[in-house]
Amino acid sequence: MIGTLVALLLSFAYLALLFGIANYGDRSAARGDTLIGSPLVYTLSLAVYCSAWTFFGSVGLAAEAGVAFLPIYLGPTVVAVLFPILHGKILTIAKAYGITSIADFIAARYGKSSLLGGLVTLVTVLGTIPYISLQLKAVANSLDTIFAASLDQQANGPVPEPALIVTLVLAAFSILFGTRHIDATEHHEGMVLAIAFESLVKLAAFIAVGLFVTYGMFDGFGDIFGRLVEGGRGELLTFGATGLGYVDWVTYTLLAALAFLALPRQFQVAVIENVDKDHLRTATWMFPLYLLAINIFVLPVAMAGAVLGRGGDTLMLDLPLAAGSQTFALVAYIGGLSAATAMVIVATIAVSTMISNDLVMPALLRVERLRLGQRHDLSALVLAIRRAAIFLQLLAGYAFFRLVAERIELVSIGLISFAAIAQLAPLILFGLFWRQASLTGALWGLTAGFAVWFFTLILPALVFAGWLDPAILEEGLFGLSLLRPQALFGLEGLTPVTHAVLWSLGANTLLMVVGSLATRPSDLGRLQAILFVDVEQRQSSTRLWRGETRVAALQDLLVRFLGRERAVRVFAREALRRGRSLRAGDRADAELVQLAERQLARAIGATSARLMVASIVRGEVIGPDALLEILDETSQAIEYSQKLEQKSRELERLTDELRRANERLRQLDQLKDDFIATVSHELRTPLTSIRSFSEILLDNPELPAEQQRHFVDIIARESQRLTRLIDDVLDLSKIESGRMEWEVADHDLRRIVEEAVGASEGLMRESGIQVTVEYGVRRAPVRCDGDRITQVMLNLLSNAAKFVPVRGGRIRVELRGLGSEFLVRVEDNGPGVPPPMREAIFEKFRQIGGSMKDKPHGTGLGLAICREIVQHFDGRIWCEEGQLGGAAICFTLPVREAELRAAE
Amino acid sequence: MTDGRERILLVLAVLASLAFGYPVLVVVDALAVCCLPGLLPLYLFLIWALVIGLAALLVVRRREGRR
Amino acid sequence: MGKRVLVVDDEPNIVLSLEFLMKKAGFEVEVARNGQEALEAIARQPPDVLLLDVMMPEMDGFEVCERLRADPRGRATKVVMLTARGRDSERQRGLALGADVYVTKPFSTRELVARVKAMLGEG
Repeated sequence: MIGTLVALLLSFAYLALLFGIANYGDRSAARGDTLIGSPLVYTLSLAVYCSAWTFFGSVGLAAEAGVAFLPIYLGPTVVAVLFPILHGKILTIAKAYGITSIADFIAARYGKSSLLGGLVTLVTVLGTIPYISLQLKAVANSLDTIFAASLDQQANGPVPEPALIVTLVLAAFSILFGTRHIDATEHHEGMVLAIAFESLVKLAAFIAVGLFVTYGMFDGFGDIFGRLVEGGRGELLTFGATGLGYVDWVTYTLLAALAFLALPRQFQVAVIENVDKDHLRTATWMFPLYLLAINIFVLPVAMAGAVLGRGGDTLMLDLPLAAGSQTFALVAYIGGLSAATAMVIVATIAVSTMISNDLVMPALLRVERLRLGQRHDLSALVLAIRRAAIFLQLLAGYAFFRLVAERIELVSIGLISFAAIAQLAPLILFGLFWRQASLTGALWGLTAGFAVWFFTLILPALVFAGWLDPAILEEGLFGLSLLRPQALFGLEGLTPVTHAVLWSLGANTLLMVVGSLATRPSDLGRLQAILFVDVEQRQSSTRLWRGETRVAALQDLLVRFLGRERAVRVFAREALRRGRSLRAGDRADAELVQLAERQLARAIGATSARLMVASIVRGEVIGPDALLEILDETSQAIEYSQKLEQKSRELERLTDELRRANERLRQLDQLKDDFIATVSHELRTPLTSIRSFSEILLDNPELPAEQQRHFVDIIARESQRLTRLIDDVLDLSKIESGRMEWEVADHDLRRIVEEAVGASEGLMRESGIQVTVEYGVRRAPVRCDGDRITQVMLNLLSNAAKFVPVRGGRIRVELRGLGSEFLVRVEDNGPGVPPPMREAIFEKFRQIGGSMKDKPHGTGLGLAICREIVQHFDGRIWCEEGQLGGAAICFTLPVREAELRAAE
Repeated sequence: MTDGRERILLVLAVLASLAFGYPVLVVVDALAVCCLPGLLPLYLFLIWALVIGLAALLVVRRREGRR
Repeated sequence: MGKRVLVVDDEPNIVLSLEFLMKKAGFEVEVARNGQEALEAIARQPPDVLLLDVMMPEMDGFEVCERLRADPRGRATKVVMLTARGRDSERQRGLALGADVYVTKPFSTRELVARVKAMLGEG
């Protein structure tokens, strides 16, 4: 048998472990080493949704009503699918505007209204405390179950309220790890780590107990199911067993979805504690997977209970105990404890922030007599309020549990809480997506929804608790049967929760819409609406302050709320960002005011922050028109600057192009200049010889006849050279400028080659050069200017002749067919052309080797002209290594088209 | 995150809501009552798993698409 | 003792004409066909007058002139630069490098002979 002491010791050991983990998380964070930076931890922290209600309540409900527990998980599954859309936007907003809680979020959206923030907080508190009491009740019940099974109970004497002890320990934990920083947007890393750990524990515990019941006590799913059907209770798995109508089912699903969206503890872990928006993606599927996993064994365990004739909220403990397994009973107990503590810790921390930032601080700041505005250090006060709020919530939860909840099932308390929290959902959803949603609408909707909730769910609960006259249920308020709390306006046939949810959410939504449409929102309301709904486009455009204050005043304000060290740090960082110091006497610009307000908002919420900043900033309160004008101006300015940027980029590109074009032109100019200088040189050189020798002959008539003839011969040769040069330059410039007159006709390339070789025969024989010719084709029909191609051939031949050695010179000419073109190849056994120069020799005046000067023959333009001519007739010309060891100049001409067609 | 993918997620959420609720459940329950006891929870859990799988497929593929 | 003239040009016909003119004017003439040969001749014995073509392959006239002036024995040599490229910038460069006269081709033979004689103080 389990010793009471063992159970209690185990509880405290578990809680001590939690403290250890949280402490480790906080210490790591302080070292700048985050442990919650993984999507897995984020997802597990979201599983704080699964509280003791899940752990004990689901099974208890399923044992009686089959699948009736499922809507509570199906609703959040649908919301999880929408994480990237819904929470993506909420996260962007929360991070941009320093949101600290769900109340802060809603209040900020509707014009930083302290009234709305307070109201939201109130609803949240009233919705949360029953839920906390539900957790305490679950822990107490499970302890009782274990004690009841314990034989040595008497030996240990009466247990002094274990639930109260658990309550106090939880308060200590929440205070320790939840109120470490004044900045409520700072992450509670230790707390998150502990919560993620608890999610693992409760999942593992549930699955362990499920496996034990299914495979230890029974023979698997099939066995339990078979025995259930055998026992005539097979209908437990049908819809009829749920006791719900389809309207109820759908309503419960919707309720769970909306509550999941608005629950303060979910907002805390999903939004405030989020360290990386990207984690949402993983949570989109992993979180519903967690829900599925923790629910897999609900039905088997519940059916097992039904088979054994047991039920109730402690089935998870009863079954192992009935099977004599204290170990698994303890496992179940620890699982339930972890589920309960996780919920309580996160909820109290989240709600305490709301109580301090949206309820107490705004109220205190408004009370003139307290002169809080002038107090020196308010951060201690804020923290004290939060700590007190945590403590009081737990105490209230405990009181509620002792006074009201002891005789009610877990599920009904849970649903009542859900119905209260769900009233916030319309404010969130309309606030996110409907720009017109206004403060008036929000106030009307929330008030109406909350009132209906109270009337339809709380009033009957009070009646059942014996505090009110039951007559009101039967006859209605003021004796009006239309106002019966559980059959409002005659709506009957639904479960009380469905009835309440439909009426309260209906009233809420209706008044929200009507209120928003009927009234003109305040200036700030309109501004905030735009900032929220269009958050993606607006983040950086919110410099909207026109009042006037000094840097020093702002800094003092921050010092009072954040402490000197932090305030100084904030200003120092800002100064660093701006690259100049912020002098105390300077006028604070809009950006700085905004920064201060944002920092303040992180500590005391948007509403209080606004009040505080407004109190020190002299000057105009922005009028509605001015406000929207500024907003329009900024967006126009943004648009304009974007356009400007685009324009200037274009301009830059154009300038670049222009610069490049200029550069090209300059290069071309340089080339032309060089060309002219080179031509000039080439012309002047023969002219020099001609003039010199002419003058020598004139001045020296007495020269011997032989010398005279030599000089005249030189003059003649240099004149020829000059003529050739002039011809070439003219040819080239004609071709290049497109003024060449081509006489295109059909020719046989073979005959052209033959003729050219024949024409240069004399020169070759004179120089002792041996010429061989090979023809690979009989006919080579091409279309070209025959004279020009002959010119090319002569040029290549004389070029080759220039390079062959003085003795034993050899030139080889070849003509071949190459598919659609003919190839002519002129090789010599000269020194050849080194590969890097093979392209260059076709450029103007690019001759290689000084030896050329020995033979004043080339003009330096021959190959350039050849290239122009060959390319004009769609041929190619290039230089390669020849078989004779020298250079081989090759060129091709396309086969005449008619010939090609005939071949086909 | 593109609008197109958000729209697919939205469609998935709507389809899931329908599959989890009225009127699909009426048909499933009728089947369960007449001939297949245990079908209702089996159906709900399978659809649940399917929705999770599809959501995973969507966001995981989206991630790859972005990189 | 006759004055010595070194003719440097890569055009054989121009060398031939200059050699004829200088010999006729009564100078001792030495011939170089490129920059390298010219430097070798200068190293053997710097001439009194250097007739130097600017545009030669490998080592051009500017470089030859520069090297000549760098050699203390070459300071006294009179340099006549001959160029077929009549650009002003090149003329400046030649004079800056220590050329005494800059002559553009084609030139008057009589004038060239007269200038060389004048430079050598031979009226």
